[in-house]
Amino acid sequence: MYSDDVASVTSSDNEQVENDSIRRALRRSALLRSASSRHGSSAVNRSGASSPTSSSSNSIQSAETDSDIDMDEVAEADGVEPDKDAPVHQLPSELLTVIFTMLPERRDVHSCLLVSKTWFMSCVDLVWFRPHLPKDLTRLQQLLRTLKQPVSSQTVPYSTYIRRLNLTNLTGEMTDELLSGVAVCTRLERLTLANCTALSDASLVPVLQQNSGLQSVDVTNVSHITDATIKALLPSKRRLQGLYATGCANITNAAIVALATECRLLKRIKVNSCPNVEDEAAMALVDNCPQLVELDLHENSALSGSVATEALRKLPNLRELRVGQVTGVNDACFLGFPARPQFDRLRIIDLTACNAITDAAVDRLVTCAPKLRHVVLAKCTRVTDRSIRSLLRLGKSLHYLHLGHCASITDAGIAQLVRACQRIQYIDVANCSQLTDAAVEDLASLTKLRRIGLVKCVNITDAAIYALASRSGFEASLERVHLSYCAGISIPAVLRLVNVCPRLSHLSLTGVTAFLRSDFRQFCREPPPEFTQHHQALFCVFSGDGVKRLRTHLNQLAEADMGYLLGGGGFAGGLGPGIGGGLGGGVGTATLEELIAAQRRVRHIVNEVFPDGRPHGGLDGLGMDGIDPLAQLEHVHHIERVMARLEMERQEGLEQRHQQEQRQLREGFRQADQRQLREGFGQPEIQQPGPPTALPVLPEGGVPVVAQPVAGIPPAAARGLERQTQQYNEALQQLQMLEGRPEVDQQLVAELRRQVEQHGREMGQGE
Amino acid sequence: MVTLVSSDGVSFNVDQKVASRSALIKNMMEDIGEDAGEIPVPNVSSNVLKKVIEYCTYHKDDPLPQSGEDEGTSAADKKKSTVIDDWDYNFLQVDQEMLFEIILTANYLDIKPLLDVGCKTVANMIKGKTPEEIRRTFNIANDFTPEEEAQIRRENEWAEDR
Repeated sequence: MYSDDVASVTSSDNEQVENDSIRRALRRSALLRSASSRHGSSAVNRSGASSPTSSSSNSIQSAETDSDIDMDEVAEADGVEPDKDAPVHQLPSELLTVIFTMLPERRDVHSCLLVSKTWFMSCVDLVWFRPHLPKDLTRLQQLLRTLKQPVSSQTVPYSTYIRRLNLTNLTGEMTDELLSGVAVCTRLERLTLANCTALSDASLVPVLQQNSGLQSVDVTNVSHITDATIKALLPSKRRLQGLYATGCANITNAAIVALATECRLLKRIKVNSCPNVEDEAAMALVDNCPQLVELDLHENSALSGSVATEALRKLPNLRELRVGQVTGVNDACFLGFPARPQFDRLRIIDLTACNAITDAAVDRLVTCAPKLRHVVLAKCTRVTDRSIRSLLRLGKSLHYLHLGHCASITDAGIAQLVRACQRIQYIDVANCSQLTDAAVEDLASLTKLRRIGLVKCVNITDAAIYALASRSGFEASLERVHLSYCAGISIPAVLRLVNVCPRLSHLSLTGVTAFLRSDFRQFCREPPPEFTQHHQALFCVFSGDGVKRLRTHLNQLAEADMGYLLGGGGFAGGLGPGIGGGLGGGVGTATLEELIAAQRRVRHIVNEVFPDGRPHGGLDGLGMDGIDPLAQLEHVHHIERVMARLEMERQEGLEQRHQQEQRQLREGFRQADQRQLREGFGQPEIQQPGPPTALPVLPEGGVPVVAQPVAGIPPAAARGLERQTQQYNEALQQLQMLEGRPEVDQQLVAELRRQVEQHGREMGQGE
Repeated sequence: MVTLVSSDGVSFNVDQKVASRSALIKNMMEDIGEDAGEIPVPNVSSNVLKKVIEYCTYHKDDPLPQSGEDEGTSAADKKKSTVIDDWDYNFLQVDQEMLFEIILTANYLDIKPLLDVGCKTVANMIKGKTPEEIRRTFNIANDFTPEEEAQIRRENEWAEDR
């Protein structure tokens, strides 16, 4: 599950990056807009300051004089005379660019390229500034083909337009040979090559050396690179602000020290999972790069704890510090700081698996960094509820909390947490084995909750899932739910959850028995190849479209079962939000196949009872007019569940008894039906829900109760209630017959009784 | 009250609240004080200025666009949606000349929501069209030679959304 969590975090980071770049592009266009200020003059300055190379774009400018001729040709062909003074020509290039940025489809921008020379110049920058390269290698090849042409024969020198290059859609295909084609670019500012694992110094060094204005480079997991690549960044020392080199294991102290001493503007650096990056390198960064806002050193096991202390002490802008799995980090790293607010900028701290950390360190950290938003204490096994009490002081600042494997955490701690930190969006309590449904019910009250991790919270049951699915109107906030190895979760509970959470984009159910089904597997993500066969078999994670398809599939199953027997009781998941569901998941571990088969058998019996189909197309004939349709449905479900039980018993060889019971049931239905026939259907007054009445409230023992007609109730409605009560009592009788019989699953009977009684209480209250 | 004077000399008396939808005028009023008197709006003719004032009057109580942190997200949303609310849509049902004049004026007077909605309207006119259809819509001459056009197509083939 951990690798899964990492993957999900990474993907949301990517979305963040995507949003960032859109934002930047727009900010850029906003700049263009303000640059145009007074349109009187800007119309003259049409070619636009944004394309610094346009003066060298020979063909476009020189062709201006020929335009009359072309215009005539077009005019002839169209029968419309294109107008040199057409109103659109009033728009200066900068405003055209703003308009083009608002086009929702790239296809539209591409069409604009071909409209006219003015339009081409206004949108070529938009197309090439940050080339959009999808998961299709031929696109990159086509782009490189264009760049390969002699600059003099290109319409404009395209290579100078490319500022940001992101090749992460082609990680598997990228080779040194392909990347070498990018070496003609000289104005790159951002280069994102994360996970392009086949790349090496051979292509990277020339590309980086060519571009001395690089601001950020991402070579995450480009693991072949060596110090040579890092040193090739030195020409960009006046610009370089970001380097992500996670997992580049060959990088040594020498390269990082050189980088730190030259590139003093560095703001963000990740050199984590780089085992050769040691104290010398980390200290060089801390000492030379005072602008650092993000420092990620996690999993660099050779580091000492003092790196964390020095980073906090010397970097006034530090916003994000990750020193997870740096085993040297201990309480002393934090307790040396006086207990007063001092790391004002610190928002994110990751202390994953810093085993030596105790509640004392957490308390001091919270005191020193009162604006922490994002706290990762996963696998800090010595952390207890006392740490939670310290975290309470962060109040509404706290948005993200990871407590995975903090097994000492209890329900009481969680209860306090949700009261004080109501803005939590992300919570992970994986493997907090003391937590129960009560903790999840508390967490469900967080109105901003977007992600909840409950992996291996072995005590939680469907009640927890229903709590997440009834968050009084805030269900839509949930996006990612991790339930792997919560073995007790049932299908109806999950269906309810997926139906009320429209934004759900990730659902992990690895190792949940009810979901180990081949028909679900098709919507499931591929298990990571590095998993063992056993783990691959258990792997069950739905994401993105997979969740949508699972939702559709479950609803289809539910519908095929007329929406009830699937869960063995109160199956409301298929009926959308806001509907009961308190009785869900009754039959416990029965598989869906078993339930569906039982359902078929029940239908068969129903057909026996009502050979001509149910009177009035369904529920009307059962004497429950005037009752809330959902209550009707519930009621019928109860009867049918008992019948299902009976039918199953019949198959176990109890035919005689069964027939007698069935006769009773049939008689009950027939009486109801006859009464209905005598009294007629559909009287107008019974369209209204019945007034308050003395519906039976079943005592604990479940003794049958006979409803007394109540004054003031319209006769038909009263009769409806009476009949409902009668049928209700019949259901109870059936149950009593089943009770105590060794051949019947008594657990199931008890469950049915609980449901029936619960339903009785609800009817009593509901009316 | 402030008085705005169009390029053709027509005066418009406008509530200060209405006038300050324009960041340019708002800053000007802040610079020269409450009794700004007459503010000339060169480059903008009276028929266009009248339209723009109509917009500012209707939107005078809208929250001012935030220029700050959350600009990013809202701008990203704006980019994605070319949805225009009904009043604005009807307001911009004008001939192209007027539409572009309104955009230019919104840009000049720095009325960002009007600039956005104007540009969105034009974007909607472009949406889904071929280059030739776009030329016809805006009456633009194709000033490429067939060779130039073919070359641009070839050079930008990678960006073509298929």
